[in-house]
Amino acid sequence: MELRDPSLYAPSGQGDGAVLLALRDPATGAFAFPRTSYGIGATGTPAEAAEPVELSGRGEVLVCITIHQPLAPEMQVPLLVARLRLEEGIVLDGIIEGTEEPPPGAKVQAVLVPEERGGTRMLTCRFRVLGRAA
Amino acid sequence: MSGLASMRPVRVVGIGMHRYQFPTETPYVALGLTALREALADSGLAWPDVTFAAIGTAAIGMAAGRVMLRHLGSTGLEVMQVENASASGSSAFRAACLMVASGQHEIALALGVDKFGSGQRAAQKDGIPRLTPAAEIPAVKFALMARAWRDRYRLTREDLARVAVKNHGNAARNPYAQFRKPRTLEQVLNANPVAGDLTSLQCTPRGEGAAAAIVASEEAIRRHGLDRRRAIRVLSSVASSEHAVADEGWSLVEMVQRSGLSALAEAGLGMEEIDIIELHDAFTIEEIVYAEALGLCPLGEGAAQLRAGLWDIGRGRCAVNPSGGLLGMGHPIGPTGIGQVAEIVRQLRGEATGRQHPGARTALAHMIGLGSVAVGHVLRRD
Repeated sequence: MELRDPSLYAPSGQGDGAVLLALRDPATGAFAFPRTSYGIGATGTPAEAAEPVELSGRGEVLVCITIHQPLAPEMQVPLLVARLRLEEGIVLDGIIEGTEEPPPGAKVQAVLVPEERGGTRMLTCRFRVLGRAA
Repeated sequence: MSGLASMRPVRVVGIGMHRYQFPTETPYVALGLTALREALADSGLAWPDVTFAAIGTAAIGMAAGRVMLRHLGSTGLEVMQVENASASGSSAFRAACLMVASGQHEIALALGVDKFGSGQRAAQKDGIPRLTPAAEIPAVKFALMARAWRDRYRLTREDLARVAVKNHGNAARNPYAQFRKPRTLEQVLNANPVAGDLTSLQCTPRGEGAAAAIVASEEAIRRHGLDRRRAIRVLSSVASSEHAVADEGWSLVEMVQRSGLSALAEAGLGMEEIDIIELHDAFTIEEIVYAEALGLCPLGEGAAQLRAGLWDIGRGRCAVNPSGGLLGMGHPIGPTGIGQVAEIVRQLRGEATGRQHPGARTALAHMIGLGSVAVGHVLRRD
């Protein structure tokens, strides 16, 4: 099955796990996610001077909420959105699998799961709470 | 001295509004001209006296100003359109103030007008895919903030809802407000859930409207024989955008803090001297977080102050969002920041019938805009 956004993530090679595709500034170690041609905002480093890296997709929940109303076209609710801190230090927002809100500090792993949107079934990235059934 | 303090004095001499309302078929020109004519009448000036106009709008399209202003007469004035998301009106007001303060013009207009638009944003055209577009939706972003503050500072759902109760109550007394109905805590808590702990009555409504403010130099006030007692001094005007800070993604809070401190410092005042704050409460959590960031109370004590009624009109030292704020008065985008100024001017003149904060002399108008940007103004009655 094809990936919904192959510029954002890729299979990790371990089950349905995913890695996230980022840029790293070799001089400072600063990351940029998503990986873009615009460079690294934290340092102003152009993309050509940065190295493409894979982020582990592992991290922890800082805060999570449930969206109760479809606030965008094709949004299926209830939907869990969380602010996460990845092991590499990057803070980003992602969708959590399931409908039970994980508490702050819960460990998560990026996974690739099938999703049907606009009549097409593709693999998309979700975050799975570790230590509980999906 | 820097900013406005280093330039010649600027005063607001006229204000006008078109009530904020749910979207209608009324052309924006009618909305804008209503506010402008009211501001001219309030000031005692004639249209040809105004030589600069900054039009704050986010959804109408290119060249909104001349299409509207020509109906008052083509006087050859300088016209500039300002778009700065939710801070469009505040930025237009800032432009008008700077034009007068710098000596470029003697009398300048800031006019905010908007119709409810598509809501399309430049961030949707940046060519960058996102893990979840949901996180870009303001209701989601601020529901995350509400939950983070609940975890960090033990905010309760009732604390959040109290912001809406206060601001809907204030709006009910404001003839220019979109919502004119007081709400109980139960009504706010039991309204439709939107995201996280936010219910529909804790989110700003979609709408349209217009607001105008005319600013003038001391020389213009003298020359035109305007009533100086009703002319409210603009002490400071600041604008900025986010700094990157490692704080779990809440850098806009730091931006608000920095911006507020800067506005007060430029005015030469402390927060303890501010009697009124109009701030960006598109979602209930914002009022608590920004009031704390602006220095109205120590971090984590906003909810207790709100519970004690200290931010109410006539009860505490400083009334927060006496207009009803974005939650109650509405948030048509382009007019919002100028609507804040209009409310403040009314309050400082002692003309806010039915919702007057007694003895109000100084006020802070503070807006943020998508991106994020911040714009602040401090105003004072002599």
